[in-house]
Amino acid sequence: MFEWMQQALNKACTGIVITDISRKIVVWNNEMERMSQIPREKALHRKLSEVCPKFTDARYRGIIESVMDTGQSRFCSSVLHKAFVLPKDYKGEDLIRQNLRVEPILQNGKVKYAFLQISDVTEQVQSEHRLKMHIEDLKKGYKQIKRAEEAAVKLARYDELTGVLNRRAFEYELKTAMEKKKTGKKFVLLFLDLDGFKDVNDSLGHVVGDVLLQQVAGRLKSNTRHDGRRPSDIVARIGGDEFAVVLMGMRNEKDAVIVANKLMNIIRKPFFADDKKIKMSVSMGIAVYPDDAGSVKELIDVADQAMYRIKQSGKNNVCFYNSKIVDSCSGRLHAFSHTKNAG
Amino acid sequence: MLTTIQKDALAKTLNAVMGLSANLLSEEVNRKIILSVPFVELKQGFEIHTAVLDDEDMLGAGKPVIHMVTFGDECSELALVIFRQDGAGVLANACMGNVPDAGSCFSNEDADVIREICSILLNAIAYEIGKLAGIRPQHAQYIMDLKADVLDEKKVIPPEAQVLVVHVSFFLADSMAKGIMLIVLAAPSFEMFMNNMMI
Repeated sequence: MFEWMQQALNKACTGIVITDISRKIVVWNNEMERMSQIPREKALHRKLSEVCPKFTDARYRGIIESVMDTGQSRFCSSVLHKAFVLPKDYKGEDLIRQNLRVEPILQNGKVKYAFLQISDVTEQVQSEHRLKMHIEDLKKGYKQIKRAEEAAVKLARYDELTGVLNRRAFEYELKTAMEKKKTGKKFVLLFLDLDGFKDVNDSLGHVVGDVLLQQVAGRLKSNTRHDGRRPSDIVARIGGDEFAVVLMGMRNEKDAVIVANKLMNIIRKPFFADDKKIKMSVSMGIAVYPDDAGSVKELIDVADQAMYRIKQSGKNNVCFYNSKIVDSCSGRLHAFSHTKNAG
Repeated sequence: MLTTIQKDALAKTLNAVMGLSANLLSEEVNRKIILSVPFVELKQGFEIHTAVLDDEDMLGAGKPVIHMVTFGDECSELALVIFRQDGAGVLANACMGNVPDAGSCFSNEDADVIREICSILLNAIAYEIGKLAGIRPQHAQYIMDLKADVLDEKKVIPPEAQVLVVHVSFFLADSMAKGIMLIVLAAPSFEMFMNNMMI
């Protein structure tokens, strides 16, 4: 072969092997020497399968034969075949990755030689794997951050014990509802205080008390509207044993009375906690927006006043706020600006 | 224009060719692959443009992935396989036994697997079509990673050539990928192909 041609092949960054029709090696460039650790003089004129054991496999012998017979090229990826040439006595086959391209070389219109190019892509494959691992780590980290964010949002909005809205979120929802309500449309605030809860807590313990509060919240949620198709009712825990329910879309006070009585009866049904049967009742004050008040603070205040009236007059009942109640309670108005004690 | 009988014969022939190619491909990648030909069109070379890549329903999204084999005495006959990276990625991952991750990039590994699949597929197509078209399989050359403008360059696809535009679906495990094959034959070869096909 021309010396300059040999020099050109030796300068290639790819392993180049040329075999003749009897599969004997006629060209073995410098890169092949480096990859296989077999010097050129030990490779030339020997069969490819003797020098590179991979080519004893019928599959790869078949690929070269097909190229010689049909004159068609073939590409074999490192992904599906791993490697074709390994250093002598090398044990870590899994670590090396090579692509193979086999092409025919014709003389006088007939395929006389097979031209094999073996590219080492180990570094590239390893870089890609490292990048993929890094992307997976970033995705995991992102998911963790999102979960923490969701937990923080939940904590800021929901009462940890009962899962209903906390006071801050409740006041925000109430304010939003007021801003959205069209003229003439009403909604109703029910202000509930459990009767005798302090005694339950003191006698049966805080654990039972907590379970009771969870069950009360559950019953309030199950018996108010949250079907997503209409404005949903709002249920919140706003203090120790105090709950608030906002009934959206009330057509008149009679509707509110029906729901209020339903909730009263639901709360009167026995609760079960720690193998104990506990009977509770609730004092409930009702205020109507916008009839009874025009702001969040005012509405809560007047509903609280109505509830307090019930507490004073025997508990376990419900009443609407109206001007007569305000007049009679003027000396005992309760400002709703801090969390009240249970009971 | 093809007659109804010719269209039927063409569909049957191409399905048979695809079936043989699929068997070969399945053996090589050691996974069961099924190729189906839902649709074939006959066009002339000058009608082929990059617009063939625009059907997102057909090909999906991503950069084009195009490989080609030339065959025939003066390399005047061509067969091309065209994917978009979406479909190519699905096929590559299915061949590797991976479940494709929605939103994952088309990697170098994916590209290598597609290069191998296409070399096997195009060789099989060139061989089978070549037999029917009276073309010796010698001198076939596999050319990888063509740019989309190869479809617009009339030097590669001669304007007067007959082009079978074959819409192909690849089924592998639970995955499906769509691609387009262009089988480009000079007029005499096409005539022999059609005659042999009708026998």
